[in-house]
Amino acid sequence: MNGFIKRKRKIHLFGFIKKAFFGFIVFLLLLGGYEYRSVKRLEHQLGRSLKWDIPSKIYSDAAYYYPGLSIDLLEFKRKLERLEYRERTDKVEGQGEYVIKDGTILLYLRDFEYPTEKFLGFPIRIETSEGVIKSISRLDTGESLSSFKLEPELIARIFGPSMEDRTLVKLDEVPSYLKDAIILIEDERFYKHIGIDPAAILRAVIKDITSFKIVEGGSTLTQQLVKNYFLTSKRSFSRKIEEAIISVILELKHSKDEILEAYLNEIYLGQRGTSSVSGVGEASRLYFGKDVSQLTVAEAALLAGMIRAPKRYNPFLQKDSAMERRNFVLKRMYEAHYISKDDYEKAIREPILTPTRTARTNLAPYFTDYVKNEIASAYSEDVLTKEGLRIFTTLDVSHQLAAERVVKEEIERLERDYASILPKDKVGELQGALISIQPQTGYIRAMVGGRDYEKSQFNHISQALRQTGSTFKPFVYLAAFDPTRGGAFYAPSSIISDRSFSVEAGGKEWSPQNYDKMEHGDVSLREALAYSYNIATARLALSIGLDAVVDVARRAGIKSELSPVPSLALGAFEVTPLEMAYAYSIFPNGGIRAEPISVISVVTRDGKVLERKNMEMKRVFDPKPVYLTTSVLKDVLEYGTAAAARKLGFHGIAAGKTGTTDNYRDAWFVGFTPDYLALAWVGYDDNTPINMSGARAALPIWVRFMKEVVGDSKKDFTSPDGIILVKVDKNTGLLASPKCGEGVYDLFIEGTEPEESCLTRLGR
Amino acid sequence: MSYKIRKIVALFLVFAAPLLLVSCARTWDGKRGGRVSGHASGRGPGDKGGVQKEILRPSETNYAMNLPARNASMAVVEDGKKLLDKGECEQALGKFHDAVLIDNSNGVAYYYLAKTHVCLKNYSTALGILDKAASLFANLPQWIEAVELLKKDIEEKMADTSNTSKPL
Repeated sequence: MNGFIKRKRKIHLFGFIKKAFFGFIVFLLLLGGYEYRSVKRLEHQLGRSLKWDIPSKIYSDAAYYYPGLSIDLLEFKRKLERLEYRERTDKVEGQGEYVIKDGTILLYLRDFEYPTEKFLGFPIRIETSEGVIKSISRLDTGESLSSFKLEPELIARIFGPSMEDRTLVKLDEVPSYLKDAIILIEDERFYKHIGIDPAAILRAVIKDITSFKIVEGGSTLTQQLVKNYFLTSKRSFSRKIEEAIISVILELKHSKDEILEAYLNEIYLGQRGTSSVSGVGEASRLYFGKDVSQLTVAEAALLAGMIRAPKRYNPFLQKDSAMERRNFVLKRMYEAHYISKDDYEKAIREPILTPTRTARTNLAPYFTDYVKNEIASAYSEDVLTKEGLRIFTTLDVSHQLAAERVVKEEIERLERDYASILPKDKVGELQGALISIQPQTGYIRAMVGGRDYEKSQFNHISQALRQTGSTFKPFVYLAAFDPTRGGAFYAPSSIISDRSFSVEAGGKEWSPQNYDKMEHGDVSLREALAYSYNIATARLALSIGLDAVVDVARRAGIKSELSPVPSLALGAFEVTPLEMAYAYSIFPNGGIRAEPISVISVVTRDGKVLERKNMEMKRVFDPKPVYLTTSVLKDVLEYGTAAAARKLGFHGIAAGKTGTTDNYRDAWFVGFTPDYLALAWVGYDDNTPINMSGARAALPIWVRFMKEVVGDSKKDFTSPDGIILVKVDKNTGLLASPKCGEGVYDLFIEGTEPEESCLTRLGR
Repeated sequence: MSYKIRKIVALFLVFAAPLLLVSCARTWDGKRGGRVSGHASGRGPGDKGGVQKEILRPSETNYAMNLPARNASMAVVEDGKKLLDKGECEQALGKFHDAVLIDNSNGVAYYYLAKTHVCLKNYSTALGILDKAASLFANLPQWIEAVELLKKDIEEKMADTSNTSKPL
């Protein structure tokens, strides 16, 4: 019996050993598999290939300053703040610092890598007087400068789902004192352990037990990297084990320097709005407005100290805590002989200097979407969110911010002041949009696609097809003034009837009416356009031929559908405001059409230019008829439908045209100076009438915007060769004679002026 | 007063005085016209149905050149020219872009921008930019000539390119 029991036990023991052995083998296989998988994953993620998703960055255009340029010091200060320059009180010592005092600006320009040049920063002095730059000179050499440019502003970052913002740095770009400080404060034995540090764990356990709470984790830098990079922040025993295993594998496969570089790029260091700031490169930008290589010892100490609790030691929000923590790190660095006594004392005295915090993470959301769309065929969303491309654009951030503010405030004012005429209980908000461009280059300078991007991402500038109303009329007049068209000559002083008429169109009678429901008899073309008479304009279009009008609009750049029907002349067809703005740019640009341009270049984060867009322009009209049309459009603001611009306080030389569509569905104003063009539009998405004209709803937006960005410029439009002024009789458009009444001088293309005297019409 | 003298005075009042008045009135109108632009033309008046054709020419330089911007722009053009001379076309392009953005009515900046595009073989872009340069050189014949020469050069290059790309 005993023998039977013994044999049975022996069999059980043997079975157990067998099972245990198999279990062990399975465990080893699983561990081996896990290790293999982990190693492969590590190899992939820490290999020479891309390690992190780096958001691409969209930049504005650079800004140019030179002696003689008007400068608003407050606006200049705002620009420096947006560029994260740091204000000093008396002198500038490092890149990204400025002083503005008694009309003098001291500015330490930063290094910046432009697509075609690497700019190395230096300090400058700008002397101003009565709002004008008087001189610019280098502070270091005293050399006088003819101009300087400020680096482009960061408009937006294109994030992936992780919403992590990161600027990659190489280990040799990081100052040694920052590396020392981080190792000292986070993992003193970094260069001695194998990924895990039993001594540190024991020390942490003892500390935690004696403090009755968890005060120290005992994690090495490698473990922190593994936790942040590979694992979740979940606290569990199994995760700790996993973390330890991967840390050891990591140490076996990679050098300490590789691990440290990865750590410096990975570590979480705070928030910028909804995106997280990871790595010392981006954190240096956020907290100190400079590249990591330019950090002082004190700044490096603070950054190292922040790793433990970025929120608690955030220098924007908790300056005292940040100061205390920084000084603690500095003391440890001094005690560990990483810094000398002099360095320590100097660093302790250094104030914590942060740039002004900017709350907005996207300065031009509609423009950003537009740019992404422009480059979508070449760069997918995936590439944009991962590759860290730098996209240089044409935007002027000062103009963009002014445009956004003006559109928002003016639309709110319209809703307030004209609540009685706006539709009641309307679903969907009143919308407004504005675009400004530089006609000579085609650069988009500001784009506001709607009143509130958070509520509606529909870009009313580039996506909305709207009837143009009277804003189309200048193309009719341009066609009429062009002597190469053939047929009858027209000049601004030519007379046309503004009496009601009917014409058959599409099997129906079509009879245009004026905005004021009146007829004005014989009027000059100048008056007809300045006062936006529909009847006279329709007559003119029919007289010169509707095909000629379509041809002019096409040459000006309108690509949307247009048909040669009588209502074309009054703006019955739909175009996007973007098209309309560019079509108008031929007026200030003397008949040359510059193609719209928003992206200047796309560059990899290593500086390789992937794409460069050139200014593209072409002469599409003779400058003479263009100049005649512009001269009439000037009258629109002087006494015509946009005369309110003067009452609203715009006194510069400008030309433009109002537009109001059928039943007051759209209100437009397109206006320009010789150097700048802006278009404002107001309406509802569903075409509900707003019951307001272009002059009432859109013009005030244009006026406020132009007053802010252009001011009252007195620069006039350039007259081309072959333009003459001839004294004509106002009533007949023929040569003036005192017997016909007082004559006026008006513009003609030389050779097209009248030969007949007004007296012939008086029967003499 | 004798009958003869009275007859002469009456004839003078009937024929000569109105002519004198018309002449005075024209002189006055002419002066007023001069005030419109301040640049009266040299074109002679013609008799058109009993009235003169009164013509003025707008000043040929009636646009206000922004001298500070022009100076700053020209300094950048000089930097760009040095790069272009060294054959560093990409870098020169950046400079001439800057020069145009500083002063968008600087014809010289457009001219060299076009020249840089020729260097980069962007011929059609260069031709378009020369259109702009030409429009800004209205009264500068030596620059107009330079623009025309460059245009001709570009057209030749374009013709060469299209010839060489034709299948044999």
